[in-house]
Amino acid sequence: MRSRRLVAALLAGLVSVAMTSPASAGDRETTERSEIYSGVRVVVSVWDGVATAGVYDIEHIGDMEYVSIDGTWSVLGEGSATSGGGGMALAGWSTIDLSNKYQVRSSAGKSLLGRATRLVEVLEGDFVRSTFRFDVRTGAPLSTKIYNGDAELFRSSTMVSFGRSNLRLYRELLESGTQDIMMSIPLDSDVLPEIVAGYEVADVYETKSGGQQVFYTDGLFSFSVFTLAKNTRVSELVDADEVTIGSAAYRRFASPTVVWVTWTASDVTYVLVGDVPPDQLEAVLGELPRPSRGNFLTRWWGRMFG
Amino acid sequence: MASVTHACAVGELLSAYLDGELSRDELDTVVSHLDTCLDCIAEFHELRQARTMLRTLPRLEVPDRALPDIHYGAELSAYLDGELPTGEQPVVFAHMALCDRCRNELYELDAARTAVRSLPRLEALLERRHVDQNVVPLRPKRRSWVAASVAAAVVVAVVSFAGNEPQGPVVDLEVFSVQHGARLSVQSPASMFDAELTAADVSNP
Repeated sequence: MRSRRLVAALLAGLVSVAMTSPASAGDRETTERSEIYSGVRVVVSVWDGVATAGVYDIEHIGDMEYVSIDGTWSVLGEGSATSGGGGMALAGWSTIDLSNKYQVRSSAGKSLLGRATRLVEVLEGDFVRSTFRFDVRTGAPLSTKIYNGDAELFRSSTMVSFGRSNLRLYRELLESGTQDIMMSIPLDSDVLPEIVAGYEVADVYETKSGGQQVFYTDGLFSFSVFTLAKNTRVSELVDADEVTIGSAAYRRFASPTVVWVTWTASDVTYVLVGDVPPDQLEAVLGELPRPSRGNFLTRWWGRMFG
Repeated sequence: MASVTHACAVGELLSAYLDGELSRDELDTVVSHLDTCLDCIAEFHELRQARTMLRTLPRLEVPDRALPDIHYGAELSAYLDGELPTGEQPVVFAHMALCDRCRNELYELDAARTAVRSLPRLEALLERRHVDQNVVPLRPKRRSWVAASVAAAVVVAVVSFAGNEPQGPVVDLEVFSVQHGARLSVQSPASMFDAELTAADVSNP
């Protein structure tokens, strides 16, 4: 594996944050936003009629965001992610423009939390796939709504309190230690396709377990597919619900912000992690390698006991 | 483009109002303002709705006996035979969905029964012995039992092999979340719509 351990790589991120701080923002005419804020965000997602919800403490400075829920925290930004268990940073990435698939329209939005907002609607044809209400001064997404293909609300994210950052993020960054650097590698197109249900491969990275992380995006939503050795088990997914999607069986676990799906096909175990709505998830899974059906006894067991 | 957004200072107090954290003066200000400002009324209802939704989420009720730290062991045989008390059967069933250990045990137990059922019938062997009693076999009795034992062993081995594929290493879910999160971090909503927000900046100095 070509990853290598680097000490204090987060300092680079810290420097970059400082460069986008308000002190330098005044030099630019077009970007007046001071991207420093904190608050509490409530996210609710609905999968198969069952709602899951989370309350997240958010602290945002420049391109870095500190997120905390139920005593666990992570810092995300600039291609890196750090949590209590360590961190990793990605070496480079590419961009997929959402205008390939969606149209965007924006207008002045109604106020939220006493803040002037900008309403951005993302349309898929005539269908409003998502709406965002951004705080004009900071660019913070105060309210986000994502709709499923049947026009039902699938995910709602709302800031219920909002204010200035208290700079706790800086402390966490300085205390967070080491990161693994994950290198870009070529896509093994024998295993995964380059385009899946309108999602394109943006980047491919190695993983610590020796497999690949293939990052797909349509510019709005995204998901990673991880390839693992056959029969690798993923801790929380072992007992996750078995769901039938497009006549194939998968194990699925949904949090308010992302969904995980795992299955085994041929000699590869796959884990999909992403924020795609249910209708698009079904389309995506339909174009990825299909789960192996299992042996006779496994199928018999499934019929007998569900 | 001129902005027509509404931005009351009172809006910043609505969250604290819902939390009951306002001072007396602030409370008076908010209450009187909510009598007149339609935008703040709409915002107040939206905030309250979000909080209500959070409080009214369904909770999963699981009987204590269905929790994975209790295992059924000897009762699994009765479960397979449908001999558990009426109320106990669905509890064990729910437990199976949560407990790998009991599920595997039940699976092995059922596989063993399948193997036993596939053995030659004992009565048939006895009848044959009776018919052939005048014939002196070269290796009496033993060959049949050895064959039956081998058959049973083969069946058990096949069932065990087919039903329990070797399980690989366990990977923590967080590993995938962190690596996906790292890549996702460069695709934040604000960066996606930078052009739209920049236009807003210009019109809202």
